[in-house]
Amino acid sequence: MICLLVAGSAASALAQSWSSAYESGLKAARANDWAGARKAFQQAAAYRPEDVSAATVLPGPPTEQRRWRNGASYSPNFLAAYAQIRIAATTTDATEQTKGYNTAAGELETLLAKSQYSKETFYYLHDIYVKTGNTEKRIALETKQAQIGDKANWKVDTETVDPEDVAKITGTPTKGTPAVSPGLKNGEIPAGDPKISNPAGTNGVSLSNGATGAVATIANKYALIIGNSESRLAGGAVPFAADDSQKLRESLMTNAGYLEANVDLVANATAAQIMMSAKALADRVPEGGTVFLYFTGAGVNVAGKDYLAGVDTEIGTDTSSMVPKAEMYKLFMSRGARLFAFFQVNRPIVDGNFFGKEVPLVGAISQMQSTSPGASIYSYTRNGKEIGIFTDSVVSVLADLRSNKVPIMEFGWQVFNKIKRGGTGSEPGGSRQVPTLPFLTNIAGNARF
Amino acid sequence: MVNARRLAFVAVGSSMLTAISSAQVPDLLTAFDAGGRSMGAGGALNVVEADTLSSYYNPAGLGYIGQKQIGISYRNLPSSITSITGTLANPIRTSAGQRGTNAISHIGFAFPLNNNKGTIGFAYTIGGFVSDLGFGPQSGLPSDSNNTFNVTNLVEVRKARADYYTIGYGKTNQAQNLAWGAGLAIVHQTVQFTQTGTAPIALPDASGSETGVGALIGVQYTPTSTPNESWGLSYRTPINMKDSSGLFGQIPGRLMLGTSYRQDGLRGGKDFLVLGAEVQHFFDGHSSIYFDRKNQTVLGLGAEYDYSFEEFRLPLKIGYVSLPAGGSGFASRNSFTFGLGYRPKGGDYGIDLNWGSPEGSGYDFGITASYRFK
Repeated sequence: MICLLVAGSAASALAQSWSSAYESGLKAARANDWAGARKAFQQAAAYRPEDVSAATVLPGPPTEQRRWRNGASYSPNFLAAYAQIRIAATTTDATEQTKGYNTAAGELETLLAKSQYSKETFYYLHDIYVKTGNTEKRIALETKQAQIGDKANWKVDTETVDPEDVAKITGTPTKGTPAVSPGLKNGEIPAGDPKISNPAGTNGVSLSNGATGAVATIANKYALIIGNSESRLAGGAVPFAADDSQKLRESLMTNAGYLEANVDLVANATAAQIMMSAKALADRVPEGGTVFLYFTGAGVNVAGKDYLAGVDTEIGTDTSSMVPKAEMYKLFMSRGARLFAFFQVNRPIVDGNFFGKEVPLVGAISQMQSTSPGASIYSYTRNGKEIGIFTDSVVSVLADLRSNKVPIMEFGWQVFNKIKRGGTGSEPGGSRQVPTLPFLTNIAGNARF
Repeated sequence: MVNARRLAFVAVGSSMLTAISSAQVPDLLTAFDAGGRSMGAGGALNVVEADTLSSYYNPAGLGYIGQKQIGISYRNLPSSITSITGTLANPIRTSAGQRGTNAISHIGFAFPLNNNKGTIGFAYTIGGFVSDLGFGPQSGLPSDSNNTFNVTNLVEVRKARADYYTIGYGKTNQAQNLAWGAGLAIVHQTVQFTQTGTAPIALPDASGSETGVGALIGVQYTPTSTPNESWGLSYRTPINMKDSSGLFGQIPGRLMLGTSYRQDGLRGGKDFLVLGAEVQHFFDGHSSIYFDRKNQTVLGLGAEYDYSFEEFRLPLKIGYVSLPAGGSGFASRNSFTFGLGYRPKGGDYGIDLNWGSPEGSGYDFGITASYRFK
C-alpha cells in the first residue's frame, strides 16, 4: 500500500503541472488577459506537448469513466496561437500587429502540418491571411481545406474562443439568433440565398453561415450607392441596377458595419441628382473617413475620361449631361477620405476608350470594375429577381466576411473568385464575366472599408 | 447485550459445537455481498469501484466521487432449510439453500467536500448473514446412540447477521491516479441459536446482539503507463465483539485486493468492456459457540460489457464467485452471477439488476439504484 502511495505521488507532479498550467491559461483568458493566457498555455504545452482532440480520460473507477473537464479537448498549442491572435487584434502598431498575426499563423500552420485539421484552425489561419493580405497562402489554405473536406474533424477546446467566432465556424447559432431561417431544417439551404448557398465563397472556408445579426458599426464609414436601371442611351439600361443597389445597401449595414444614416442610396437619378447626392454625402464625411462608392448603370469614357450617365443622359458623348467620375472623386478627396469605388457598368471599347480607363493619380482611391474592358455585365435570377452577377458577388462576399474592416484586395480576390465560380462550389471556375481586381491609387492592398 | 434466555449448557447442549461442525449451511457469515453494480460481475469490481459502497469495501473509492451521491440496494437475504438426522448429540445436517426474504442491504450517501478536499461517505451495509431453520425427523431424534431419550418436534433456528455502519473519507492526489481512504466500521451483530421440541431436558435458547468497531484503510491506483488498468487494495481490522458470552467471537479482518482492465473502443467506439478480479481474504476471526470461523479466501471474477444505445447504456455483467466455507459446519457458496444495468446518457441515476445462481439451490436477486445530485 505504501509502495502504491509513493508511486502515485511521483506520477502526480507531472500531471498536475500540465493541467494546472492549462487551467491557469483558461482563467487568464476568461479575464481577457491574453498575454497571461498565452504564457500559461505554452507552459502547459511544455509539460504535455501535443494537442489532443479526444477527451483526456482521468484515472479512476473502471465502470464510470471520468473525463478531464467533462471531455474537453486538450489544446494548449491552438489556444496559445489563439491568444496570440487576440493580442495582435488589440495591438495598435500596425507592424507589431502584423508580426503578431504572423506568429500565430506560424503556430497554426504547425498544427495543420501535424494533420490536426480543425475547423477552428482553418478559420483563424484564413482570417490571419485575410487580415495580413497574404493571398497566396490564403488560396493555398482554401485549396487544402477543400481537399480535406469533412476530414477536418479535429476538435479543439473552444471554451475561451469568441462565441461569435464559434458560431461562424460551427454554424451553430449564437444566443438568441437562429442558425437557419425559420421553417428550414438545420443544414437546409434556402434556394437562391447567396449567403448560405455559397457560404464562404472561399473554397469552403466557412466564415459566416449561421451567424446572424448586424456587424458592429463604425461611425466614420460612409457609402453612396447609385443604381440606374433606366437609361436613354442605347444599350445603357441596367434593369437590375435599382434592385442591386437595395441589396447592397442592406448588406453594407448588416455585414460591413455601416450605419444606416451613413448609407445614401440613389436610384434612377439624373446626372445632377447624382452629383448632388455625392456632394451631400461628402459634406458629412469627416476628415479621413472612409467612403464606399458603388455605381451600377451606364458609364462611358470620352476622350480618356470616365463619366457616369444619368437617366436623363441622351447622348453618350454629351459630357455636359453626365457626371465626370473624377469630379465626384474630388468631392471626397477634398475631405481626405479614402475612397473605395466599384462599378457595375458595361465596358464597350469605343475608339479605343472604355469606361474605367481613367485612372486617378491623386487621392487614396481603390476602384474595381465588374467586368473586363470590352465586356458586358450580366445578371442571373435569384428568388425570382434579377440581380447583377457582380452585385451578387459583392453582397455575398460581404456576408462571408462579416467584418467592419474589410481589406480591399482580399475582398477583390474573393469577389473575383466568386464570379469565376458562378456562385457554385469551391474549385476554380470560369465565367463569361471577369471582373478586375481593385486598382489602387495611394492606398494599401490591406486598406479596409 | 446478550439475551440468553436459557443458555442451557447441559450435556446435549455442550456438545453443540461438535454437532454444528457437521452442518452444511452455505457460508455468508462474513462474505455477504450486499449488492451494488459489481454483484452481477461476481463482486469482482468492489474494491476498485467508486460509489456509496466504497465506505464499506474501500474508502479510497470515495475520492473519485465528485458529486453528492446516494445509493440503495435491495436484495434477498439467503436462508437455508436443514434436515437434522443422526442423534441430538451427533446430528447430521443436510441443508438446502433458499432465496430467503428481501431487505434493504445497503444505503449509502457520499458527498464531496469543497475545493477538492476529498469525499466523505456514510453507509449502512449488511456484511454477514446466515439464517438456517432445521427440523428433526417426525419420528423424533434420538438423544444419543444409546437412545436415552427422544426429542420430538425438534426445530432449530440458527441466525447471525452483521450490520455495518461505516463512515469513510477518500481523496485523490493531484494527478488523480491515486486515491487513498480511511474509515471506521461499527458492526452491530445479532446471533440467535434456538432449539425447541419435546424433550426431557432444556434445549438451548440463546440470542443476543453486540457491537464492535473496526477500522478501514485503502488505496486505488491507476498506473500512468497503463491508464486502462486500475488496482485496489483495502484492509479492515478484525473486529472484536467484546464477547463475554461466547456468542459472537471476533469478526475476521479483511484484506481485499482487486484489479480491473477497461477496453474502450468496442463496436466502433461505442462500447467498452471491463474485466475484474478480486480476492478477499478473511483472517484472524474467532469462533463463537455456535459459529466457527477460520481464515477464508473469496475470489471474484467478472466482466461488464457496456452496450451503448443512443440515449442510454446497458451494462451487461457476468461473473463467478468462489466462496469456500469459512469454518466447520459451513458449506461453500460458489456462485455464477450475471446482471443488467441501465444508465441514461447524461442522466444522474443508474439502476442495476443482479442475479446469482449459487451452487446447491436457491438464487440471489438484488436491485441497486444510485442517484447523483447536481
